[in-house]
Amino acid sequence: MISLTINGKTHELDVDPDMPLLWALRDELHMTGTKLGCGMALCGACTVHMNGSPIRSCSFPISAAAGAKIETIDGINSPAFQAVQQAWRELDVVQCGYCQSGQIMSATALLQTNKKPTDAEIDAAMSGNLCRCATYHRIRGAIHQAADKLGGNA
Amino acid sequence: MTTASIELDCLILAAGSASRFGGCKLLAKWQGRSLLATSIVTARELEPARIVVVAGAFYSQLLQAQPELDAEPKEPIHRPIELLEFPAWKLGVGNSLAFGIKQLQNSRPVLVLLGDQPLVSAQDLRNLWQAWCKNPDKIVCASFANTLGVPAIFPAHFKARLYECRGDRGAKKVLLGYTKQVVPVVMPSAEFDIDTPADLIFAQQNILGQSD
Repeated sequence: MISLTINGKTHELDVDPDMPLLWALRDELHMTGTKLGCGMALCGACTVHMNGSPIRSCSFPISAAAGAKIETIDGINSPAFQAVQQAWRELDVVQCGYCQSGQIMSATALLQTNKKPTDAEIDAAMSGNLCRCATYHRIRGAIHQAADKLGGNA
Repeated sequence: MTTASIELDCLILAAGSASRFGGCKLLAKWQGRSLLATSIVTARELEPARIVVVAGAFYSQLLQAQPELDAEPKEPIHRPIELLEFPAWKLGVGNSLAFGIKQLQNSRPVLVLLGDQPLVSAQDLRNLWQAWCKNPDKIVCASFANTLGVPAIFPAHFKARLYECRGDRGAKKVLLGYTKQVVPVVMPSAEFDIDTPADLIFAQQNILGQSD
């Protein structure tokens, strides 16, 4: 049995320890907010947080996540997340939307540690999240707007 | 990027026999340098206080190549690499790691690198360093290919765990044993290592786009 703490709740899973975290989230726990994109940690659609840091859950074994604090788009609710979510809505960031749960998780992780990121810092933090609709300019704008909204309270 | 306030040591593991390569792979050419020099040049971007290279099977060859390995100084202060021989390298990467850790000051964090992950970039290491500066009591490591691994930065208080490593298992055992203390940094580039001459040719043709 492997014990995973996801969004503050502990789950016991009787599965292969090498199972990627994304499989456990979607197929075992039916938390389908996190998406499968490339399956090779190259596109960022499957991004979740481990101990506050963004990881690609498609390429992360649950054995390495056991005991750690995992947060997904289904349950995260930090001030940074709320600001990002609101900015996403206000700027209509989403086009097709498939990559967006990963984009939002990466953006949230950035704002949780950097209250006022520059364009370069945003580009560096978001470089692992691909968007086929090329909404990058709106993503960057929304991160700036969320940072402004957070002010000094991030 | 500078490590002005906190000094970092860098430990590069380069002791193995490269049995599947059939020769001293760390001196194989990669973009005009040797593989090992590529790791060293990348590591210098973080301006570590010391760069310690643990050599074993090919110590004498690496010693001869030291001028090339040390050829690209990082201004303003160039600290030469420290090439150390670990005669008992056959015991495994865990022992090489423990040997290297023993050579370092207890008080500083350490960046552990391999000599055969040439796609790991200076930006990857800067990401690692920035994540560590925000979590200086945690281990910050690369996340790739369904696992955790090196490059990784260990705070000083984890050196005792590294010092206990033995046999075929290196830093990964410590990473997977302390997942609550680990901050992963996404690094797909860390998955690719050079094991065989075919790996090297494949990478040169398909990743670097070179014909030779």
